Amino acid sequence: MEQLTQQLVNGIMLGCLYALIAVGYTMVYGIIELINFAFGELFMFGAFICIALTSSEISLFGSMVGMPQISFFLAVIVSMLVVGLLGVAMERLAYRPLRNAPRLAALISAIGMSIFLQNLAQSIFGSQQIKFPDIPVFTDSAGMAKAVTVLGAQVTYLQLFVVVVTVGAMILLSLFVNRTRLGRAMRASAQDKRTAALMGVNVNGIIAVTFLIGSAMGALAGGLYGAVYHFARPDMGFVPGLKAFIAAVLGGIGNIPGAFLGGLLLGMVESLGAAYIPGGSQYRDAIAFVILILILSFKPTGLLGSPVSEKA
Amino acid sequence: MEQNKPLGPLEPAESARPGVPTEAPEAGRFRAPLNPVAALFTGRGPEWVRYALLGGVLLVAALLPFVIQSDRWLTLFTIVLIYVVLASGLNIVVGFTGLLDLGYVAFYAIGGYYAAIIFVQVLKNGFGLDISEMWWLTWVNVLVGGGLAAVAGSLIGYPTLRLRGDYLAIMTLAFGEIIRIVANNWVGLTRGPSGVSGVPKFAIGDFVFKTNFRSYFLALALAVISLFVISRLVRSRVGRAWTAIRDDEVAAAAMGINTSRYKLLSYSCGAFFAGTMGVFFGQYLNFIHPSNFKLMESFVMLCLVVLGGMGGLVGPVVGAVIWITLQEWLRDFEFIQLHPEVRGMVMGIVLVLLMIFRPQGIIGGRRVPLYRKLRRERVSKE
Repeated sequence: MEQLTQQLVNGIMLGCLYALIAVGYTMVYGIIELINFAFGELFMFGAFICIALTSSEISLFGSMVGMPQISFFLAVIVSMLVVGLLGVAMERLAYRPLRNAPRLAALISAIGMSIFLQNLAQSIFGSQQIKFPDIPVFTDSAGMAKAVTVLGAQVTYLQLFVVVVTVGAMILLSLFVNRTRLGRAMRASAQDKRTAALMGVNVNGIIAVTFLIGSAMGALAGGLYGAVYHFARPDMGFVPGLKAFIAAVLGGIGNIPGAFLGGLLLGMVESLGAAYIPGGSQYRDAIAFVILILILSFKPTGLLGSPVSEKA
Repeated sequence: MEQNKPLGPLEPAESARPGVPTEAPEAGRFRAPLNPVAALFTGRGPEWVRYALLGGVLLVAALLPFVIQSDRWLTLFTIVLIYVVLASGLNIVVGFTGLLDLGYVAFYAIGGYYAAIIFVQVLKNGFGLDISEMWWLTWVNVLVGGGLAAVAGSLIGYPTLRLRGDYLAIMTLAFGEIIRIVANNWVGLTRGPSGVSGVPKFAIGDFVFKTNFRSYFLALALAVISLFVISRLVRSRVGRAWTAIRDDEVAAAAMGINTSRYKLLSYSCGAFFAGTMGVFFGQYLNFIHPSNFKLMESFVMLCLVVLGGMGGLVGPVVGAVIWITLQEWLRDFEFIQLHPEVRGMVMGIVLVLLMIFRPQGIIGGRRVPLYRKLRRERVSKE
């Protein structure tokens, strides 16, 4: 029982992180139907920027540079901003010129972007894993994570923080998309770009905003992931990015509550599967892919997705 | 979204695509081939120009190892040839049938692991046989490995039949990753992360393909045979069915083409060539390791196809030759050895720029003439 609740807690937290990245995938896919493989890399940049800002010094391009050592919370916000702008720049340079090109060209461009960013991070921060500094609020004086015990499971403050932040972000995003003018323009662009443009929507601007939000969410997830698992590495983004995409497909792509649900489900199934299926921990990554195959076989539109008309 | 163009829902105006000829089918006949190189690339001009060029390329390929004898370069050329076949095989699925496959590396892995497992794990460790005596099996393996991959191709293809476009891509990606994860973790069968070593080399009796020089010619022979088979295949009844499915699946079905069957056949045929190359790879390097079959390899293969130009026969070959040579050659620079990440950055940027400025690939997506005499220009776009 204790193990079950502990795994559930871990799964929910992991799921929240997947959900945050999945938001980017799902929003971008909803509008321009592009699988932006580079979100995983933006997630990684988020983690690195957080480390850089909270450390006293860090090695950049092989030389040690002094750093402001600001608070983790401020660092996350700064990294969301920086990575958000990085995402917008990426869209402007690598995807917008391909808006009307064949779909495969955009996909290859995304792969190219992902390779580029991963290697860029390697050149800036080095190829070694670097350690995430402890966050004073969440650790006691001995460096141990502060935790509360719920139903026999250890829930760290940091895990609680991750869940609260994710739920908050999801609620804010849903309100933004459903209640604001910009959100309405976003939904209109997702339905029909040309008609939306005729109605006076600045579609390019909307797409840029979508990338801004998606990338910022990825950076948030990256900062939290780094804090929870205490590391950052240039290749850390690829697998979580892929799983976040699976979460987005699971929930129904283009759908923000779906991304949240898909992320949570994926995180929990992965966590429980690794714990209870014999040999599950080795096949942990395969679980996500098996789920993806099952979902696509039986309900290709995802759990909350609306059916897509197959042929006009 | 129109279903008949799964890879390109947002179609630009006809004239918006540079480099794609838009004239009527008959126009080509009256154009004299001014430039033989252009004739090779566009397929216009008299037959003999193309045969002469083909012969020239083959001659250069055959003479290459006599001119450049360094082991480093011969290895590189052999790897290029492996990728030539892999890209051409993937092109059957992506370029000719229009199904986006991001898990192609799985079939390569199946071939490689088949050769390793049958020799080392089963015959040597299981039955205690002397595998160095069983030279004939190295040749049988090429076909059996290909066949196994082909079976896997249709098994994996089956659940994807209902899916289109990106969903299809992501499902094939999932299968590719599952195969790699299994190879990495099923230690009893694959020895997991330590890999399988001691796979025997190709041999005929006592004549062992042990030098890079001999291996290169073997790879060249395999590549020529594979390309010949592929070129016949795509011009056959089957190939026409694939092209029809790519161009308009509903119309193809209406014309009586069993689309499910031909899609599965396409997966199988593509997978077959990857399987044969997997076996070659295993028996060439004598060592199989899960890291040879990462997801990035699938991306590289797809990039080769798109880089050279999809849907033609020359495109993937050109893509593989240019890209793999570049990729391996860059390793020689001292600067790159000190900063390997610069190579990755350059390659990433090149991919993005290429897609922006030449999305149809280096050669351009020229349609393979379905009949020898009737040359049709490519009027639809992928």
